[in-house]
Amino acid sequence: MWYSGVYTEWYSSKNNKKETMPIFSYLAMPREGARENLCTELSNLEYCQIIPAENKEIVVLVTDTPDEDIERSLQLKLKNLTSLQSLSLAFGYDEQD
Amino acid sequence: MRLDRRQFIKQAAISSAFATAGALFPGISFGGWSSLAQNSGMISWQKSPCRFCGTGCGVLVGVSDGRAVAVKGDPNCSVNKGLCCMKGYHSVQALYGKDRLTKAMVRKNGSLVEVPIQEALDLIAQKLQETKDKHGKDSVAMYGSGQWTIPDGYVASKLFKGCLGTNNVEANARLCMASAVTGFMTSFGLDEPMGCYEDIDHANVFVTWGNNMAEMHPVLFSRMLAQRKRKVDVKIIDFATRYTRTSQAADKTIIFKPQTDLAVANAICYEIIRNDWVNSNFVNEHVSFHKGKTNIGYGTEDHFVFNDKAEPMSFDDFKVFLEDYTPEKVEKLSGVPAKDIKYLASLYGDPSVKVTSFWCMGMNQHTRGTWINNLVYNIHLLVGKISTPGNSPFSLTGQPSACGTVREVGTLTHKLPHGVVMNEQDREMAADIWDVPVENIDPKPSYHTVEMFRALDRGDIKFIWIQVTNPMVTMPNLIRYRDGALKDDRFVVVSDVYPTPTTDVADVILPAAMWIEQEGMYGNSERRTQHFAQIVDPPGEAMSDTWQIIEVARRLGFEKQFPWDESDYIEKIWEEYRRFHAGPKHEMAPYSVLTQRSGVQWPFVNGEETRWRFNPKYDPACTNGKEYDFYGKKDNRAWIWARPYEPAAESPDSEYNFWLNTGRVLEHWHTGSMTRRVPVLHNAVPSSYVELHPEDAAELGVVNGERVKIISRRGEITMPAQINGRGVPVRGMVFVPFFDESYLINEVTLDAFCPISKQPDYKKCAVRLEKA
Repeated sequence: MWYSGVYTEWYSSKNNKKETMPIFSYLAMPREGARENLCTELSNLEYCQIIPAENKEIVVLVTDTPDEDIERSLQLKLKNLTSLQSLSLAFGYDEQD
Repeated sequence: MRLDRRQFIKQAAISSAFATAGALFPGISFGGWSSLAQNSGMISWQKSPCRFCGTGCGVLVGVSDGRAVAVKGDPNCSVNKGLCCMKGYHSVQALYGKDRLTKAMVRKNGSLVEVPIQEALDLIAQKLQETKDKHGKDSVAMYGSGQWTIPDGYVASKLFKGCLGTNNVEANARLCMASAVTGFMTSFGLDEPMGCYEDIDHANVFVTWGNNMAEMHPVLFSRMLAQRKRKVDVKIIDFATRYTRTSQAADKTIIFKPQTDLAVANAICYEIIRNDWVNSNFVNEHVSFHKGKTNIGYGTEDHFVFNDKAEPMSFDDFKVFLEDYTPEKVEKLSGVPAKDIKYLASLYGDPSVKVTSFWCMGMNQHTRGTWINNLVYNIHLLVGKISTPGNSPFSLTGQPSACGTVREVGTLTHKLPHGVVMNEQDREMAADIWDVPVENIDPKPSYHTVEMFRALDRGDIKFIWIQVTNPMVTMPNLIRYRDGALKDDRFVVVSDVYPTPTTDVADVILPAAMWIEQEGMYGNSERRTQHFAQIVDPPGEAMSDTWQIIEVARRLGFEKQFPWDESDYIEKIWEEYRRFHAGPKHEMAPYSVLTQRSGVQWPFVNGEETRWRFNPKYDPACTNGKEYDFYGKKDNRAWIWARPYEPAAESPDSEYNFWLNTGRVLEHWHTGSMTRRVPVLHNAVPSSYVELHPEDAAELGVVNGERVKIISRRGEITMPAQINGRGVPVRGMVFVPFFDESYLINEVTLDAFCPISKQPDYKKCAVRLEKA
């Protein structure tokens, strides 16, 4: 199943515990002048992989978490990153669905 | 396997993010992705330009167990930003057709028999030498392709022009973009577009001149549609002779009678001047006016010769010339309402609107192809809409390396890698780089493509080597040229990847490596050179076309000129070739840069690509200190040409009362020898057809699928009718795609050509129809 909406929409629609978590990719935009910080902060988060653009202030973030609790916790951490201005979901694939 | 699957999904997640980023931020680049992708564990991905059209989309080829198994658009390639068309997505399947040529064949007692490839190469060298010794250097010829890689064309030119001393080197790009070349040369003194695809992201108006981009350049067309969706003030104007899928998506379609685009272009200029929309500062500073010969003929006779002569004229003279082209007068000739001509002029004339004109075969395959190229430049030059982002007269090419190999390497009879054979300094440069005596290079051009095949028919040429092209499907007036190739004392060598009607006439067939089975470079429509590595092995004894030529050259005694080792010959050839283009006007990127990037635009100066030529903001070759520098011409100006309307070589009459127009379809690449072996593409359009206007079909008494005989003065063909299909011709015209070798429409077409470019007109001849 493919998602075009934001992660929270997907998550709130799920009631059951899941055996396999979806993989998500996002476009992360740093606050002005905070690109390097954002890359560092995201790199330090577990279950995150980043690919910074060479020529734009954009970072691709891919998350691959093992369970819902960790996913929820990661979302919270992302929300609290001071260097992050916005996060847009680009891809989500749930193998179970 | 579970882990692999997760990684595969992760790759998809990354690709999706790149595609989204590419759509939001044009030109965005993620350099680190390739290395990441290599580690997926399932499929390794390597970059390449697409095999097919001249757009030059970047693709990523997925390889598993030594076999190319998948294709995706390369998000790092600014051409297509991750998108492909259906041919691109299915391109790797063309490598694996069941009847792939894997062994050399030699005709013995009338039948082709398999031989070791080294034996075939021995025979080719022997026959070539014998023919040259017995009949002279101009009795041997090489006919190549805009699908040749750059090294293929370079070694062919070096062998034939530099070593053997004949200018009998031509390529099928003569059939598809020679008029674009002569258009550029006569208007600007330098070949290839001044703009780039990024113009699409800046333009407000797109005018497609006889150009069905929706099918022929679908990725660029998608970029145009995306631009229209992003912005509120973008229009697409389809200026055409038949209704196509481009018409369906355009904001307005304007239909003109064949050949009258010449008159309409002049009428647009007339209106621009009449309404005082001329950019006087630009014209006074950067433009000069010229006229050439008129009533210049059509080249239908053997040994036809034409040389144009430019004479200067004033702006006032030009205004007088245009008085024959008022919109009202041109309406009667062209069928285009005067109000539509005025509308087009108003788009070009509005200084607040950025206009990009696109064209391809409609303007180039034209008996006045050079002229109509000149005339569209005239329009842009009068209003100063050129060489700035979004303002671009843009000639598109049809083949992946028509620009890179044919135009830049110079695999045409009059050309050298730098300059022309007629120029002493250019010959000296070539002789120096090639390490041959300068006397080897003949200062006189020999045969352009149509005349080359006429010479083969006459017997002036007795040995011809054809690589990466299928002239026994594509030559106009085909019956004459096929009969010529089959004559007893002709020796025809064909290098190809599949059996074709051209291999049917061969005395020797060499199995060729295809696309990513070899290393090479292509050059696309926007001056972008694109390197690809050898990604998979060629089948059987298949060998790259470059290496085939090197093998024969060495057998002929030219080891010194072709000294390279198989392990790095492409790099060595590239670095030798690059010497021809040193300097800011055409500097090419070094090999090490090409291997790293998804294409590099030339001139590549001080590590920077040049996106808009002749504009000092972008082009380091500009030195005159002015806003523009048209440095290709000696007067440092772009040339506006007074070129009149002249009729087509053959027009409908009482006996042959229909126009015949030929062309392509989205699903198939040219003669279909590759795409017809891809099941998805073949099944989408399994065979050719003739498009008729519904009223013409009704008068003829045929319905969809019924067979129609198309008869011209040269031949006839019977094929199924298509009515109200993807294309709908106007009344009095039929259209036939040429991809299907079962229906050789070129047995019907006429071998008339533009006297300046020598490019044939496949869009206009007269036929009559019968219900079969």
